[in-house]
Amino acid sequence: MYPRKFDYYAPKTLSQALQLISEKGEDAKILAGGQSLIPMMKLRLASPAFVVDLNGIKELSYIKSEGGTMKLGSMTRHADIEHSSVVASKAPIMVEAASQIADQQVRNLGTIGGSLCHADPSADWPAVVLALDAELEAKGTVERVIRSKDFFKGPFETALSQAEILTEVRFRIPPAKSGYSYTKFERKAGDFATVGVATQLEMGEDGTVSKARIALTAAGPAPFRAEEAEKLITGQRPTAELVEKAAKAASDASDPAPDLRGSAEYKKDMARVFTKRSIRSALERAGVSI
Amino acid sequence: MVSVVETRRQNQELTVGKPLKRAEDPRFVVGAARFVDDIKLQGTLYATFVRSPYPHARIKSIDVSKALKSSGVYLVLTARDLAGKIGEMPTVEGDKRAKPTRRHVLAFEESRYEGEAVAMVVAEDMYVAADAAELVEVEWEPLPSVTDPEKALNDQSPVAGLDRPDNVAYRYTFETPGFKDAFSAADTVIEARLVNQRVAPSPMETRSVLAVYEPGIDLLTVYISHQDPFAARDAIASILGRPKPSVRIISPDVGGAFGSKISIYPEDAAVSYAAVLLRRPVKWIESRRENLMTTTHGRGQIQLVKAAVKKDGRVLALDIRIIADSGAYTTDGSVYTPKITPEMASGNYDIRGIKAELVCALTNKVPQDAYRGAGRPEATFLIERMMNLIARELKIDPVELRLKNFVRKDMFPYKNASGRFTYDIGDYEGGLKKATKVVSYDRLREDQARALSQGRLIGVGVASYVEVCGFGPNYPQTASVTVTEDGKVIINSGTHPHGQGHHTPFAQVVSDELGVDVSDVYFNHGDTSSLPYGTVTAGSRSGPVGGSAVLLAARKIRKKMETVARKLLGVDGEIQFRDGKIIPLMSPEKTMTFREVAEACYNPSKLPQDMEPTLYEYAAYAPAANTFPAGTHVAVVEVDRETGSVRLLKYVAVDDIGRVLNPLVAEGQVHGGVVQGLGQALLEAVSYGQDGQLLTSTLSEYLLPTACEAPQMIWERTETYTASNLLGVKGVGETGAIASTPAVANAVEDALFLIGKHAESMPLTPEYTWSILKADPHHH
Ligand SMILES: Cc1cc2nc3c(=O)[nH]c(=O)nc-3n(C[C@H](O)[C@H](O)[C@H](O)COP(=O)(O)OP(=O)(O)OC[C@H]3O[C@@H](n4cnc5c(N)ncnc54)[C@H](O)[C@@H]3O)c2cc1C
Repeated sequence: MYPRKFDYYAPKTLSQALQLISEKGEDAKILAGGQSLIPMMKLRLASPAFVVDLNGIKELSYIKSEGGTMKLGSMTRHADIEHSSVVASKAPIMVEAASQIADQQVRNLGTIGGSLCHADPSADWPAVVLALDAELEAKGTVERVIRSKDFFKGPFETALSQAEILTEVRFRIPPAKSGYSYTKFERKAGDFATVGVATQLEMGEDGTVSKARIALTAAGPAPFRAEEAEKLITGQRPTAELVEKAAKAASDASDPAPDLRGSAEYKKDMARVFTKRSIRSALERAGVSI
Repeated sequence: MVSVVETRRQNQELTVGKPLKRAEDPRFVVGAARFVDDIKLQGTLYATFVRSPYPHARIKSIDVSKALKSSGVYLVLTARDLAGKIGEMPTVEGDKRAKPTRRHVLAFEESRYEGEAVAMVVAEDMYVAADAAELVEVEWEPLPSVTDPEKALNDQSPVAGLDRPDNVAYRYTFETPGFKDAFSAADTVIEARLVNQRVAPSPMETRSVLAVYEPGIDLLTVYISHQDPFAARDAIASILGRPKPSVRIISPDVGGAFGSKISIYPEDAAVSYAAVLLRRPVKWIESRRENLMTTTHGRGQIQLVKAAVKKDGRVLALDIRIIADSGAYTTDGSVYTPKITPEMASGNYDIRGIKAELVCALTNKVPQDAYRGAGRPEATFLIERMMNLIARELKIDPVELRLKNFVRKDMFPYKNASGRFTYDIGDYEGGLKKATKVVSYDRLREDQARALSQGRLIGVGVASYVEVCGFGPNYPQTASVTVTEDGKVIINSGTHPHGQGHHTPFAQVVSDELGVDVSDVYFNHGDTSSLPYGTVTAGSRSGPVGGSAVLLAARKIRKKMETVARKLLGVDGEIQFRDGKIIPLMSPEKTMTFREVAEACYNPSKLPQDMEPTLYEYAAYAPAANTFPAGTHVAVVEVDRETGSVRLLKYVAVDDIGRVLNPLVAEGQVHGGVVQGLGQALLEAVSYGQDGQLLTSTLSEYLLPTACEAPQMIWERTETYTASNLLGVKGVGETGAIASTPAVANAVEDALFLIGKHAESMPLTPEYTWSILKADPHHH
């Protein structure tokens, strides 16, 4: 459990970091919380020649609520989000998700940016940012904004290029009459999800669902929005039957890989069960009983 | 009766029995304990091992030249370098039915399980060692392999080891005289196939060795995370061909063992040899991955059981076939552990006939050894899972069924069905009744019915157990007690603590004997140079056997101090040791302090003629017989019908562990054991893929229960005092792990019974339970 040799850089600013990764090219890896990268290096599954540590860059760690938009620096720790009162009041789904990631030690170090860039197909944050329809800001030679929907490409694969650093996660703060839920199914506390479902709903004045975003993790090669399910409930007055149908649609859209957490058949059924539970809980929080 | 009571004076308040906090906890809690890796010696080199990536392979050649050339590398060893220099690993001893296998310290020509060490690299630091290990080139020829012990016994099976073509490590059969008659008198025979899966003991501290050789005095000191320092000394001395006095073992704080640190491993021998060769300290700390792959596993049995029963629920006889998974080599642990299972398979019940066949199969996996309970959990699992099925089949309440079959209070001493063990004393009915009362059993059954009418599945699992502990009389345990001139006391214990918490209960025993404060009693352990002899910490024997040795040594101290006090004070008659004072009962005004008498013992002029100065006593205690803790645990679960997840709602444990030295320490042992046992029921399984590759090589694949999975346990006791040892103590280290696995499995199955299903194997993972739920066509 000892990594191969590597050179270590600790830039103080984002521009220094960008310069380093463009200079070092393919052999460089960014180090954020290290909770995914370091275990891989210790198992020698990853052996970067250069490690560029972002932990000294203060400008990447913040939580801001500005004019209806929530902004989180990519180096914001899971634990910072879990315990932020701003996040709790503006985007409680993030608190609910953060508290279910790994254990306290991992949450103290792991970052939201690291989790999104690592793009583990079972990670929790990807489903949450999809449900929030977040925008992800990346800096390289140029700055660009990537919609969360377009960010996740496959297992451990994102839209970022090697010379880019994810800098910010931002999204429109959900309106008052909304419901949310991050529902995670795990075999034991601290486990990666067998399936995770993030639901963010907005209710219209007439008691119908005016907007629905439902995203699943650990249910396919990459996290995804269950668009069929979203369509089924949008514009409708929610009923138990409708929720069941939406859950079925999400399950149909899933394509989980079999592993020690379960067979594909089991995971598909759990995608159904937990989508149902997630929507129901979001509805309940929006004050709707079905 | 029990002699510890006799020695106490009427008006003396006893320390034994008080829930004192464990003396060692602060250092563990703040991270100040001293494990092997905390010991830093100048000039230390670091070892790492090149391991087989195959379950079974021929080693055609090993080229170490590139590794040897790396800068910072001091030594690379393979089996060829060791040939003729050191011996081989111990195989099995004592029982002709066991078939020995040859096991080299580093695999020679053939490697038999994934992770088996084939070469060792020693370097200036771990990074250099790990890099060099990658440069060792091994030419492998993969061989057919077998990991399923049942398949290993088929004629067509690949062989697990080329020297044992039948894949049999051990075959053990017996049939009691009345078996045939008892079996044929049955109204019905209930059959089951029960799978007790392989699990990994997973101590927090992995295996660790630091070997230091001092050529001037020809002494090899081995710091090792171990549970039996004297046996470690003997094994290392034997493999290295050294006299025992030239090997010293120090097992400092050890972070858990659970049976996996009873034996000596290849790495221990290789590291020790390297230290002698290089004349430098050599350290090896096992990684978690290595621990899951190469440290012994436990349980691993397939049990085929036929129970002959009467319609009224009387169990007459058992016909058992057990296939135990020995792993790649025949070792003492891999055959003698499962041997206990058929011998204890009749559990708490008055079952007269038993026929048993145990076959230990060789497979391409790391060998098995003892794991918390060692053979008895498997026995309890067998009979308690059967009782659940019998109750179901005969439509008798599982509590009723047990009461009907228990060995009654008036039947002790009771020779059990196998005839191998005689239970000395117990009250099984009392324990069960207490457990059902505490858990409100009747109300639970009502709740269960009500929940079912709402579509919810609640299950109530009962498991009674009796186990065997102590393991004497041919296996003495030792202790010494020293009183220093300042009146402080040092216990030196032959039994080694690694989580059990020996210090405080032993100090309580000494405190009552010598009238000193518990905080004045110091505790040393784990150094073979500090006692003449010692035996293993296993089989919950530290309390009954080790504790009795401590008491014996303390008694000798007391006797000497009494003699000295009488002489100094010029008094006769009874003398009391209390509150740090030595009080002649006839003339209490002449009281001396404990310290004054201790000081006098170091001054020859104050001692009676012929008395040796100083105050040190050694005792070795061989118990008269084994002990038999017993009890009943009840688990209540809810099974989620959609996901198959199991939620533990309630857990009640009622144990008879004899006299309790310290209820807080005892409860901690039970609680830890219960959590470990429910880990097996719900989460843990060492699994191998089709190709024989280990799938569970990290803790994100191998699931251990944590505080979040631990139940709120209610612990109650019943007490019957055994006369098998001086303290009346039965042992408590393993009860929890023995009872909780079947209690939880029975609870889940009890819930499944509601919809006409049952479970065969463990762990009862959500998917497994879900698949059972789903397979049922008659969902209510
Ligand atoms: C025991 C354990 C349990 C866990 N359980 C869970 C769980 O239940 N759910 C869950 O979601 N996660 C879990 N994780 C993963 C954890 O959340 C990690 O923190 C996270 O996946 C990675 O974040 P990090 O900040 O540690 O990133 P690092 O490990 O430092 O980096 C991860 C990868 O992302 C790249 N990267 C990091 N930051 C950036 C950036 N700003 N721009 C571009 N590339 C970047 C790195 O180069 C690297 O390739 C667990 C981890 C452990 C060790």
